[in-house]
Amino acid sequence: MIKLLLNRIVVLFITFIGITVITFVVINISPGKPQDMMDMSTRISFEAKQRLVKLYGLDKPLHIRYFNWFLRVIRLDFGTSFKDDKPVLKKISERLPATLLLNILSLGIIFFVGCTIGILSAMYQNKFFDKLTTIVVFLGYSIPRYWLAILCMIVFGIKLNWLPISGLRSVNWEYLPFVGKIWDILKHLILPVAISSFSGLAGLARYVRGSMIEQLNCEYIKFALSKGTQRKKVVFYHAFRNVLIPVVTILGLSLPDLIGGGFIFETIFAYPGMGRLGYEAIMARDYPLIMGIGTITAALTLLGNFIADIVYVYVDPRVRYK
Amino acid sequence: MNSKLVLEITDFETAFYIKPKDKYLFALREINFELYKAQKIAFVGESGSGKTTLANAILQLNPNNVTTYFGNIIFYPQKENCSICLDKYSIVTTEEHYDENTQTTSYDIHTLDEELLNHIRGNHISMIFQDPFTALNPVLRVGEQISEVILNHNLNITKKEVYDKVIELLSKVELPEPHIIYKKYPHQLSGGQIQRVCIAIALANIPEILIADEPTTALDATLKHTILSLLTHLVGSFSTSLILITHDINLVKNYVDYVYILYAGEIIESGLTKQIFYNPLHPYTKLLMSCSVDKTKKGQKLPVIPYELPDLTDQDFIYEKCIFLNRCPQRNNRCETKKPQLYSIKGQKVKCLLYEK
Ligand SMILES: Nc1ncnc2c1ncn2[C@@H]1O[C@H](COP(=O)(O)OP(=O)(O)O)[C@@H](O)[C@H]1O
Ligand code: SF4
Ligand SMILES: [Mg+2]
Repeated sequence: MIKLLLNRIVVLFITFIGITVITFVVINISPGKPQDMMDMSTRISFEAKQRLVKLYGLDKPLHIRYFNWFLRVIRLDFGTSFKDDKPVLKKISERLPATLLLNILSLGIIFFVGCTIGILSAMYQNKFFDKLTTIVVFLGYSIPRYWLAILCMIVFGIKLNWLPISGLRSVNWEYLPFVGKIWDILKHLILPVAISSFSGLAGLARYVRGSMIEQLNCEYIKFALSKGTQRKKVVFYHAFRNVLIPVVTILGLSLPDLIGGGFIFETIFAYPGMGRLGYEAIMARDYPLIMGIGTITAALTLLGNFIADIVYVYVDPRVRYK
Repeated sequence: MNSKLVLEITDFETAFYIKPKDKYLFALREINFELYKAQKIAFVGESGSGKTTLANAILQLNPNNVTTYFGNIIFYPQKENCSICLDKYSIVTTEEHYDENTQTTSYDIHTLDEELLNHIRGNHISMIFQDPFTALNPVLRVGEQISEVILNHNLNITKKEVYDKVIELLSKVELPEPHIIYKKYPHQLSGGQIQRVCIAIALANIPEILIADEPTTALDATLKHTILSLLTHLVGSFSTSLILITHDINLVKNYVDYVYILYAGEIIESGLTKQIFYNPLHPYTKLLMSCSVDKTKKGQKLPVIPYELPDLTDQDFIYEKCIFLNRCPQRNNRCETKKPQLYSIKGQKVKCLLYEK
């Protein structure tokens, strides 16, 4: 088992290097240069621009630049932003908690709500509840998330004025009492979390339903019932323990989608997370910041996958004891 | 047999609704039999004859497209002082269920609610299944799966007592090193070992009835008899009644007292084991005997019974004609005219017009 995990670590590390190389190359061959932004500004002199180009080695060949970047990154030096000269690491760490909050909440909701809906529709197969969720799930699959986000902002934010539609705090947040502060943040989180988890939730619910039906038809279920075990326990314990195995993998796989989607998603909601920072960095061709965010994102995703691997080994004894 | 009656099935009939065809499949018809305390009986029939459906029906475990039930499955609990049977459910002690003359309690399993059913399952009536590799939950330890059946039916029991009981059961089913087996997962055990674990689970609460649905079909030839001997030995030591279900008639010869031959959902012959083996009456039973591996000489091809089981959705046929008609080598003109009943011949019963008096 230790060997298995060591194996995974090596594979993940190679993947990680691969991702940074690809990000680096894509950034550099995509049209637009960091100097362009400054070109538009007449206040920056040609000499200043040249200094910048030298400083960041923008005139060196690509592989040398990557190599230099890599050497700095292993010392945890991500450089400073082109835009305001702040250290990249500091800019990211300011935004990271909000993104983690959003993603962990979304993952939690996807897991709990998705599993609950899936199990219930399996138990009440082809009944009203099942049919209703089938339709909702279908919508969840087919509606583009960004379109849905804007629709919800219009309906719940503007028309009904129930929920705030941007940011994470109200302007008067500082002056609210403690409970009010938490409630304010929660209100801001409802729409982003609901919408970012919607399609993942729909997919998972569908999957859990199918997997649950399959498990409930297994002989061990009949045996458990024949022992006098209550149906509830048979479903939520015996069968669900087995459904959990693929669910862990699916959650692990949905992580990149969630984090990747964050770039546009956080921008729509003006959410103060790493995704929006990344979006702005891309627009400004802020190479060090893009690379920093790309690296951290890749590391987080791979870490998530690694955790999924460990949990997977834990929930499936057939992997644990070969 | 003058010992106590444990189970009595009368005029039992069950059908599956087949939705795509909008038809009923009459899986079991005219089932009548009795089971006495410590008696061992066998149901023998080829695949599709309704053996599993019958076993499931007794514990109400059939898939939920089972729609119609006729007849009764009357169970007579034998456990004295079973508090749940006596107090908690007044239903079982009302006059309806209590017979003054014989001083026995009984109830129809069909009428029980989920709670009382759960009380019966694994406690009064247990079951073991055909395929050992799918019978246990793959993600739970063997010990936990045995503990479960004990905990289900013993409310005030300590962890230590449960553990000790599991270990005792594991040694009773002759598994070496029970402490190690306790911690194993099903995939770490062999088919024979799992079947022993299943026997341990089924007998944990010393039930009145054990239903074994093809318990050895998936096992190696050498193991079959070892497991069956163990099973019948344990059942005997607990005075548990056994319903052994199999498609292999030769397997039951040394293990049971009474044999029922099931064909396409009907009992077509029944008798004491030696009657069935030395004097089979029904043309189907005779064919079954001649088809067996034991009677076939080396190098010779195994004989097979030609044609297939009748269509069980065809009501006109199954309720009007002899169920074995299309395959019977001894049929005559009279066979087309009516459906045979069970005729008694020296205690042996046979459903064939050749024996009509
Ligand atoms: N859930 C079900 N729906 C429809 N038909 C079924 C179902 N289960 C069993 N049957 C049918 O009932 C008959 C008896 O099946 P079964 O009891 O499994 O036989 P056996 O155990 O003797 O092989 C077969 O014709 C089978 O096709
Ligand atoms: S009644 Fe006729 S067809 Fe049926 S088993 Fe007897 S001889 Fe054969
Ligand atoms: Mg069967």
